[in-house]
Amino acid sequence: MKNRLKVLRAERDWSQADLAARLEVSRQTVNALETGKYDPSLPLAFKIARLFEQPIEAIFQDEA
Amino acid sequence: MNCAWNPAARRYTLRMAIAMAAYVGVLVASLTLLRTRDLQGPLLWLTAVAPAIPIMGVIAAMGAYVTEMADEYQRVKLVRAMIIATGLSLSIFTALGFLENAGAIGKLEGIWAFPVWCACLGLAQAVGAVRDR
Repeated sequence: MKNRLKVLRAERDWSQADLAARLEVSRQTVNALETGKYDPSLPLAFKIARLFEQPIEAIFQDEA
Repeated sequence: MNCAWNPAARRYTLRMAIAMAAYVGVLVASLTLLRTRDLQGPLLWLTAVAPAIPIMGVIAAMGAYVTEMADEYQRVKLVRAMIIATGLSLSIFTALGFLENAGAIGKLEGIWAFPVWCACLGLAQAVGAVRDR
């Protein structure tokens, strides 16, 4: 699954560690999400959507 | 287990320390009783199996750690490593079991099942860490 996390983070001038702290996850997790190695659970996806004030589908795109 | 220093990791370390201290105490007591007393029947069974109980505590502490981890990606990685360790250790013991049946090796010691699984877990986590780099 593709996502715009890296772009959204860069727009706010946040480091991976900044985003990790805001989401209460590890920096490794943010890195895995950004590189598409890991798709978040629904609760984490909603948390990300709330943080960036955008709908989930504006952040995550299904490649299927 | 490879983990960041968080509340779940702190609880895991504490539970593990308690279980391991209990294991050492119970093992020494069990071996002493088995060597010095002529135990029979249920008392023999109870004394012989006693050291397995704190080991079950270690396994329970590992299970509790998995459920209490706050970071879902770290949990996925740990569970994946545990599944690989389970497959690897079952394969090793199955192969050794057939070798034992054929008389190619000596008696297979069942008490090594958990240490072998832990070694496989360490290996799976190390491979995972290298792949994640």
